[in-house]
Amino acid sequence: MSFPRQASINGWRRHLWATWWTAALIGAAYVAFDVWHLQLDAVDETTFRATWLYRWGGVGVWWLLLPPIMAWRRWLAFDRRAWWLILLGHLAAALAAGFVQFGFRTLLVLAANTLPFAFFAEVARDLWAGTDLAYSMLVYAAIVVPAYAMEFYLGWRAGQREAAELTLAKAELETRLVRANLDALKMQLHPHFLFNALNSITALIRRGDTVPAEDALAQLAELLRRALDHKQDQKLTLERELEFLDHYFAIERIRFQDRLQVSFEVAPECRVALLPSLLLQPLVENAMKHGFSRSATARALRLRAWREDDRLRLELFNEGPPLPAAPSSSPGGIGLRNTRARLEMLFGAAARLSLENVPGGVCADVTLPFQTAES
Amino acid sequence: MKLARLALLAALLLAVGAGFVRWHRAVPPRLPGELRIVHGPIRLSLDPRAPRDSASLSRRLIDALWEPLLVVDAQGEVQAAAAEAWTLSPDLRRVTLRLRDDLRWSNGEPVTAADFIRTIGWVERSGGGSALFRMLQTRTEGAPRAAVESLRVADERTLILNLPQATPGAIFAIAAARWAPLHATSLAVLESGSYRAHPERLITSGPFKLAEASRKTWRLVRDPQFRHADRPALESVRLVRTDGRTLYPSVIAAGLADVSDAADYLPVRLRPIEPPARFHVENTTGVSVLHFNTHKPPLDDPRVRRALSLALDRNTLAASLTAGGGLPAFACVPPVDGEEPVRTVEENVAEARRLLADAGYPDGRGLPVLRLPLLRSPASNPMAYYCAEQWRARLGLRVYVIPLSAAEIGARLARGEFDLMHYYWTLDRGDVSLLAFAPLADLPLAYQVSLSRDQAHALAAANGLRGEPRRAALVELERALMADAPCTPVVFYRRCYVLGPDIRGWKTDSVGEHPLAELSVADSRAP
Repeated sequence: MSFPRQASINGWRRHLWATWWTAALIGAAYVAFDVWHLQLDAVDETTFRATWLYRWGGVGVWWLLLPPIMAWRRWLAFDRRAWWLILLGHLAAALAAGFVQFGFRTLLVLAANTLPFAFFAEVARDLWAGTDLAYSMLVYAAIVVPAYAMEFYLGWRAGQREAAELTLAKAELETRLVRANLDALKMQLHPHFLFNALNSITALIRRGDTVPAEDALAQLAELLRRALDHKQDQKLTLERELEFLDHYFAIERIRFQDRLQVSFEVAPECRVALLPSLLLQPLVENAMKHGFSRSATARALRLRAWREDDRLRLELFNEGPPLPAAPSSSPGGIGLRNTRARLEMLFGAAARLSLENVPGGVCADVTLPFQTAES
Repeated sequence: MKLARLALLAALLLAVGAGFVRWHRAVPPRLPGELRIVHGPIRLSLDPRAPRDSASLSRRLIDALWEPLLVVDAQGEVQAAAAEAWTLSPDLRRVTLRLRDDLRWSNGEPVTAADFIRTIGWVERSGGGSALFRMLQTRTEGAPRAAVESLRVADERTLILNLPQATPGAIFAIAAARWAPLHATSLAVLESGSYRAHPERLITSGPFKLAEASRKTWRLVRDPQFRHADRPALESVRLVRTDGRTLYPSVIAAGLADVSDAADYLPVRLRPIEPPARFHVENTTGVSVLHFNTHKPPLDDPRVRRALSLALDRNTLAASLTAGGGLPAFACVPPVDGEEPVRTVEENVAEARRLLADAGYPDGRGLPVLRLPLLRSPASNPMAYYCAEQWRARLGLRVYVIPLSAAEIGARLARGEFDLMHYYWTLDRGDVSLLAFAPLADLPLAYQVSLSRDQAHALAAANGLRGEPRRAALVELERALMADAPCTPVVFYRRCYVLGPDIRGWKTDSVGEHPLAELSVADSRAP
């Protein structure tokens, strides 16, 4: 059960108070009407009893009791107390309110009949014979039940709103994923990438290295298949992501030969960790494009993964030129922004992606909650 | 949106209009010699066991269908009906009633004395109580309740009631109780209520017989078997039902009815009425009375009771609280219209203070708080409430008005835990002996007014008189009964009828019977 936001609570509380005070005004109008029809000319001098106003005291006392009853109800809110405590609390309060009202009525009858206080016990006994505490409890219930009902209703409304927002977020996430898939596909199908890959494969064929050429074609085919397969999955294990990268690097190695030295340093428990699908691909692509392609001396690309408390840390280092002064203007800016957005939507503030210059190259650092399929 | 609202409004107006037209069409035109009585949303019943105000419409229907032994006329005097002669023995303990020899049931069979005996036995057996027995419970010298010792048939036309004690008001009691016979076959019909579906099964003995008793309308038609050749003047009586008494003037003005059922004075007078229709306001036998507990201090002292009685301003109470629907009551017996009201109690605040001082309570000092149990809502019973206020202001005494339920008040009465008690009596008779009738007020016996033996005989003698001598004797008796102020009257009530232009034979009737057999309409066959 989700509960309403404070602003909503304040809103309906205002409505409730307005309703009660409207009822009070109507009651006052009724009393005024009663007073208007008083037949005071039948008595020689007007007394409190002759005005009949004391009849309304028992009703009016409920308005005096209203603030403490409402405060008590707030203290016994459903999201704060156990149900039995709420039940007992209200039962006790209803009885107490009934007794307060009864005492007040007794005092009024005492005053209306100009009786000394010594008569209190007799008047109380007389009134008690006609007093039904069930009535007081009913009035008490009429005060607190609408408040609870309103709270539940607003809670339900908030839940509905939250569900709608979640649905929207999910849709947005799926859109982003599709876009990521497309981006990834675009990366792989990028004319430059394909040109390089196909050129590399052609060179292998010309050299008569048909087996490596066949392998390269198979890697390319697998890469494209996985990119397409993954597009419906929100999260994959790191193991699967690494497999995907293996296919990617296998193609890139044809081009860069031994210069590309890729290393994975992955803690064993992190292999089953879940992460958004195709999270690493844009980062790797970025590293290849802006690191390796632009520096003839760049050689190493290192991916580290480890667990840090309840977080998964991923660090992708590549040798190469430092980041430009304005990263957003770099060719890989859109891919990175997309990845950042996906992380934020999935994990909020619990996830982070940073890109910074380090000695000898650039390091992309990703932090996200550590999750596995079991958890 | 605006169009939709207009359409809705039009539909509502159409529905209301259609309803009115349907109701209007549901009221058939008046048949020759037919009297139409408009009444409110009340449940009518012919069960004679249910106690009713004599002015109630059900009671009037019963009276029209079954002729009782004796009746009380509009002046409060006993008149012959099914019985042509009656006597009360000198010891006031035996009543002999001689039936007419031409009494007939509506199926032509003769009505006999045995029919009366059977009826009273049926009423007693079915636990409905008997108005006759209740009315015979006169108290004399504080004797316990008594009813009828025995009932027997002397011959086919003679009934004899033996009473366990001297009962001066016995003849009045029989007349006021409207002791009427029921046919042997009618007992089951009345018990089952099957007369509503089969009105012809109800065998009656009165001037009318039942023709229709459906949910929508009731209709009585003249019974040709009735002993009077020229009574009733009407051919039929039809009841017209409306949703409220305030509609009576409109229904009469529209010509849909000839006369209304009885209504409280005020609600009907709130609406104007066009001549020739008119209002008829008459005194009732309803009286608001405050009883004193004469068995415990301080009201066991007659001076204190008299002081309380003297200190009330009844004119102001009647004017303020009844808005013309009531009259100040200076006696317990309501006045008959046209007569000078009787005064058996007076108002004198100075004398009241003097009496209180004599009793040891100057300016009310030292007088204990008096307890007055009253129904919870003072609005439902304002008379006693305002009397308490007047006593507080004039005599300085304090009255604790105890808000209680009717059951709780009854319990306090039984235990004697009260000083003052308010009653609203609706009497069946304009007779001072009502003060000695326990059933008229549910006051426990010990707190009631009792007749002395001499007073009982004086009452019996007064009831044997007619006109002014009777009235004077009754006034004297009431004055004697009220000398020690066992109670004090406050206000008499009035009732109202709306009369159409065609109604004939309408008379003021404080008992409210307005016998249907005595009424006629402009086109009735009899003048």
